[in-house]
Amino acid sequence: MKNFLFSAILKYAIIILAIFGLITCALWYPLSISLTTVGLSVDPAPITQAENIEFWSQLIFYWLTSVPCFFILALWWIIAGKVKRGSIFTPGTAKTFKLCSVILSIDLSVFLIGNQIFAMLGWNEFLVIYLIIFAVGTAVASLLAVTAHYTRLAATLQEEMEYTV
Amino acid sequence: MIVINVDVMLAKRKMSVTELSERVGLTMANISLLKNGKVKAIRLSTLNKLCEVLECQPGDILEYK
Repeated sequence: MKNFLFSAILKYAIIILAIFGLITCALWYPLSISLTTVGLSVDPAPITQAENIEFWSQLIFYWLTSVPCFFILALWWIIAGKVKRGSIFTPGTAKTFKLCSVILSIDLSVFLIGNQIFAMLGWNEFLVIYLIIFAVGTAVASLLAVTAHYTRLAATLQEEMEYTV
Repeated sequence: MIVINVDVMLAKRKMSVTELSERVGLTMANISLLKNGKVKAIRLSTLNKLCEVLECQPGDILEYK
């Protein structure tokens, strides 16, 4: 019963994160980028080619860096299923956590480098927010790495327990 | 390597695996692990019970090869 409850809580959290991510990709990114490229104007002028490139290059970059995050949420969904079955402490789960940590670390590195480039080009007015995202993401990646380590230890202990009479 | 000779003692005492399982209080799965040598650890309480039921010494069940 507890496994079912924990699995349901995890899946609920994953769904909330996924919805938040989709809203970020669908609304926040286009809105924030258009504010910095085109800006707010009572009398909007036609968008130039340069503004178009500035907008779409940033938007596509942020969308591409969001894809690994959704992939990680999918992996967590699989882990939530393992929680329901009571088979969370396995070497496979530890490897999944480690994979999530590595993917997130690489994604954050690309995200940071891209934002630095946009800032140097003068395109990015929300650098502080993206640095906060980077900091939070780094904390999550670190937590995943630590979780992977202790899940592997727990898996070893569980295996020994299963073969103890 | 430690070898578990439960089979030998069962044959000597003319006892079935099922009877051993019931008297020692282990599941058939655990008895199977013992017989197949897949066990990684034995609790002293389990070894104690095995010796009591099979009327033998620990050295009769555990052998180093």
